[in-house]
Amino acid sequence: MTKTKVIYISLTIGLVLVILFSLGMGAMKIAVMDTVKILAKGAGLVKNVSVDNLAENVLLYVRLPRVLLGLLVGAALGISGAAIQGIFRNPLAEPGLIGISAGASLFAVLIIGFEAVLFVTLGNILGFYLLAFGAFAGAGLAAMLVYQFSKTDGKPNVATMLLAGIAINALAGALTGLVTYMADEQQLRTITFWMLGSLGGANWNMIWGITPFVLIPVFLLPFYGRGLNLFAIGEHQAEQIGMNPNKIKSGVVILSTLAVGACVSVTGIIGFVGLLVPHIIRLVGGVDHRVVLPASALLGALVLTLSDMLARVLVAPVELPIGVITALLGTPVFLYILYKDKKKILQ
Amino acid sequence: MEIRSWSWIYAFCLLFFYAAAGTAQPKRIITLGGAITETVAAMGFEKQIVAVDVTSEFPANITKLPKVSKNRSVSAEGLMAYRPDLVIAPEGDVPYGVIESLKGAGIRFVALKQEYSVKGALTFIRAVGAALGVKARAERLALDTEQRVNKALQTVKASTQKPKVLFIYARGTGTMTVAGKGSSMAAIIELAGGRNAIQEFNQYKTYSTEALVYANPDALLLFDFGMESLGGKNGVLGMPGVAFTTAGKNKNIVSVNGPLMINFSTRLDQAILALHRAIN
Amino acid sequence: MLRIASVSYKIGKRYLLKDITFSIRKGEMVAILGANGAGKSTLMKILCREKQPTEGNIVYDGKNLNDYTAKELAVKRATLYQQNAISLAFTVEEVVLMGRYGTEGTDADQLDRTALRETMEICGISHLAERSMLTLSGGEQQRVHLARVLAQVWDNKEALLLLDEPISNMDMLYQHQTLAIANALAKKGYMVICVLHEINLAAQYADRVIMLKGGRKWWDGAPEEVFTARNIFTAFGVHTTVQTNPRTLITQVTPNGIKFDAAAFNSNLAREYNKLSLKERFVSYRDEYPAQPLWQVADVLSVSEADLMLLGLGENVTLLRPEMDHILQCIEGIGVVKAVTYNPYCETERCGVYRNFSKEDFTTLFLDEDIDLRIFTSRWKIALAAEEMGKESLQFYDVSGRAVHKVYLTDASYRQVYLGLITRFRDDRQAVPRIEKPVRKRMEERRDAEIDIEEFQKAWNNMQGTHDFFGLIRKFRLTRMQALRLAPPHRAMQISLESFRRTIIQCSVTETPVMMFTANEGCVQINTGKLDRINQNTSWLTISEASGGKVSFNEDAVHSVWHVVKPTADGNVNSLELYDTEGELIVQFFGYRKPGIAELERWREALGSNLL
Repeated sequence: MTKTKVIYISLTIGLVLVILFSLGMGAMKIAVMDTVKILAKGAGLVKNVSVDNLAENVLLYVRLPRVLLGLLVGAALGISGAAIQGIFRNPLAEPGLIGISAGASLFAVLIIGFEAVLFVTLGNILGFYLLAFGAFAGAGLAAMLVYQFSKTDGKPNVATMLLAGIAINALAGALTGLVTYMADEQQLRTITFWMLGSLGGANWNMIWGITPFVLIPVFLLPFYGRGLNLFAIGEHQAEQIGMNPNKIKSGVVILSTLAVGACVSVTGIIGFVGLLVPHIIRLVGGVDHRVVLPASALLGALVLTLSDMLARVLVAPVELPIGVITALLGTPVFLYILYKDKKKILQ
Repeated sequence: MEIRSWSWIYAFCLLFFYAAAGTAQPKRIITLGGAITETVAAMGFEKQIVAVDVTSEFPANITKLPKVSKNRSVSAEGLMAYRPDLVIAPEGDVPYGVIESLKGAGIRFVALKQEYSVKGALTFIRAVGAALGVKARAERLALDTEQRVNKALQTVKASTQKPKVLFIYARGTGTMTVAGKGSSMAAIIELAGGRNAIQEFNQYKTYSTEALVYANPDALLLFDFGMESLGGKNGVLGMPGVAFTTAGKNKNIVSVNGPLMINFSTRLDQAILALHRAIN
Repeated sequence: MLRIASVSYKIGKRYLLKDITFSIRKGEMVAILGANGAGKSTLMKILCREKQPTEGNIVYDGKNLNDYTAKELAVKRATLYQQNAISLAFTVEEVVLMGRYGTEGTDADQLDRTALRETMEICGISHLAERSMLTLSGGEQQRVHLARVLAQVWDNKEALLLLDEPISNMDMLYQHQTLAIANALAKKGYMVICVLHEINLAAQYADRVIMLKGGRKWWDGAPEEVFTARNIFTAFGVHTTVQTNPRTLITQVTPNGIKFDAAAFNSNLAREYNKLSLKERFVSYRDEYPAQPLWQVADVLSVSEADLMLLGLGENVTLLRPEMDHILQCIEGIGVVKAVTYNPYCETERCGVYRNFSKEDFTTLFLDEDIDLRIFTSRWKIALAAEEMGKESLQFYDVSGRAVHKVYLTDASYRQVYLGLITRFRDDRQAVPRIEKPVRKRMEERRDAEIDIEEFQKAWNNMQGTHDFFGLIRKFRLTRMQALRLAPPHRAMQISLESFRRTIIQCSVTETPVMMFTANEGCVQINTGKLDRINQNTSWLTISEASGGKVSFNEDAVHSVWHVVKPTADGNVNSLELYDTEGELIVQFFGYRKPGIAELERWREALGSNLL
């Protein structure tokens, strides 16, 4: 069995286990048999089983969407992180670098800040989705601006993209700070909720809403594997081998923005996953993007779902911020691999 | 796994209507917020409260209950795990997604808004009563509270002094804010016969030495834990600029019980009297 | 077949490449050489389609290069870049296989594996297959990239290989091995274009060499044709000795080497060093290199010749009052002396008496058969008398301390007159005069479009004497080179140095009297007579005239040779003029003539038979 197969199989097994545990654990104790019964009933496999109404509600309307959201967001962050690192030829790159997070934050904060002007109260359904749409639009707009600014002679230039990204991030950050400063107590609370990044708001509408935006990139990005491999030896070199580097760049930027923008818009900003997950994959399974991309999606989903489960369970009934868990969980693993295998990434 | 979404939405709707139609008195209540907990308890529902948030400190027995919200970090499942039939929270303290999940699970959620005035306190009591389905009891409690507050206000009127009070909210020297116009502390200071030292801005703003000296208050007011975090009365006196104020010169630094001051509910009279005594 | 037709590339108004034309056949390995900034890399970037030429086009196998899709090109052209940074820890095998990403087909997998195995084997990286690229040395990495590039076109024997400085990081073995691989592939049909810095490697492995200079193609041919000492000096500014290995018949180029004194360019070292006086430094240097001429010593020590001479003030050197015309007038009394005139690449000498002193406007003239001088004394700033190793002389320097003219005493001189002259003109103060740093003031060449070429050509055709030429270029504000370039038809023709040599040799055989003009800013010395011997010593060509006069010049410094025809009242006057890379005149040759007498027919014959 090849190394690649081992990685895929262990990631899949891990992911299934994490999903099962996530569904079974939470502030509310639901017996294993009940869990199975409720899921079977929900899937229409069995009828007329008596289950606790509240347990059913918690499982089907709170936990299940939350686990699914974790899977989607984790996969999106993992695969986009790997792809963005690929086109920037920089292991420190992450989707936030091209302005996705900063743009989303700015628009979210703007909508919260000017809600009075817009005659929308964020407590209601329209307000909530307005926020999500706004954040998505902000992510897309920022990434598009960065992309446009990065063009030299009509071709996107990676170094300029990095600089443009830094500039747009700084600008969006400053404007976000300004709006935050002007916000009143109530708005500040909403802004804080949003900025913290949490899967807590998961519901089925949200899942239906972001699924296409996440799944399309997750299934299309692996096709850029060869192209991104060639990027590692240089854009010009890639072109000499018959690839069109500009198509790769625009494809990766658009797909990553779609995926990460959609996630950020419903969960707020969750750091770390996009940065470290691809690294862990590379350290374990080599740097071939044809493996790194799909494996990062799997590991991202696994890490985020696991982190969310721990965030829910560790100090139940309250929750820990998920960013704390992802960092606490991922950093030691990463440092261990780094320590053991540092030759793989350093001379 | 095949997901039959239509049946789910159907179930969702049914539960929602069931919940809305239920007017029976709640049996398991989660109260998020000190004022709400205090008021619900005062209406005789203390035994029905199953979980609270970290700001709920009165009545004393309540503090033994599990705390399901910390700094507004609250999860749907964390609430549901206590199988409540009613969750009451201040408006804006619970994220939209959580409210949706609660409603989806047939749990009644009531968000209450609080105005920091005598009238606001009475309205708040009545609103809590409405949420609990005990309007008559609430009305009696409101009238009783009004009488006690009026009595307290008369005591306040008897004194002619109107000291200028600056409230500092502190959690260590790193986090200090002062109360401006329209804040809950400004309201209680006015009721207790003082004047809020800051009239230039609304709500709470970051503390600065210059603003302190400029406001030149007759008294500095802190919460008990705030005073402690700054190292007691001497600690506060030692802060830059304090010595230049009347309060500093007269060593007029006072502390009061925080939750009592800002709850603006059934114990408003006690709050007024306590603060009045402290600043005079 | 690859055809590059009139390709130019410019940024703004600056041409990085100008009018490059050549074609390459299947089976040819071409090396491109040139100094830094000559345009090699730009040319490679255009060939690999990274840059688009501003003018001209490239046709590859009957199809314009731009009409290929990237995928089509990928199977018939592979490029090895000079820099190949890799950002991720790919294994060697993975990188080599990347070269195969562009190939598709039914048996692609089989071909991929063959290409992988064979390229890794020949590039000597088979044992590194599983290693991470980041753990390899620069040379090893470059070999991996070479294998990747070879793998890309391994199964297309008509492909084009573009190698941009492929060997710069490699050790000696792989430098040779890499070029040998390229050469061997070329022998089987591949086309190889390779940018190289190492002349000897190019000579050894390339079938053909193209040398670029200043964005233009200067030479194109077999290595043994292109690599001559003169071409190499022109392209790189390095003096070399070129030989052919008698056994292998391969051209071997040995640079003559450059010698610096660090104190001359590092002021920190100079501080230590400057504690030594200039005199001590001069003496120690002179002891170390006794054969070096004074101007070279002055160059190394970053001072002027006059500075060095004046070190002997009070000992062997006496400073004279700069009353140049008076001094010059008195030289006649010394009798037979040797007059020497210098410019940077040429030196002339002749014995005789300074007769017939006359003054015409600003020009001092000595018109005699032997001593024939035009002197601009306004340029002469320092006069001194010196005794060096028993030789006594009067020496004249310009404001920046450069020697313009020297007068050496001979056995036939009246030494008493010389001593009297020194006594008479001795400067009372004997203080070192001010010597300025040399400033190079060159006339900026105007664009041809700004010049009234028609008028200029008419004026040229109406010249009445050779001296009118100066007025002509001043009037039209031209540099000399520009004037020659824009001359009327058949008035100025560029010829090869070889033709020049043949002409001069014929003149010496036919005993044709020739006038040789050696000029600097302060003085023109004319050596007239029948040519006697022509000697070559390294790069210096010495032409002797029957009565003992000599002209020596440095052939390496010759940038162009022109045959110029000026109309005069006495008919056309033909001259041969040698210019350096800056467009400055080194030396000029005329047939013997005098105003009123037509040019010698023999001179015309010598020109006519050798210059066509």
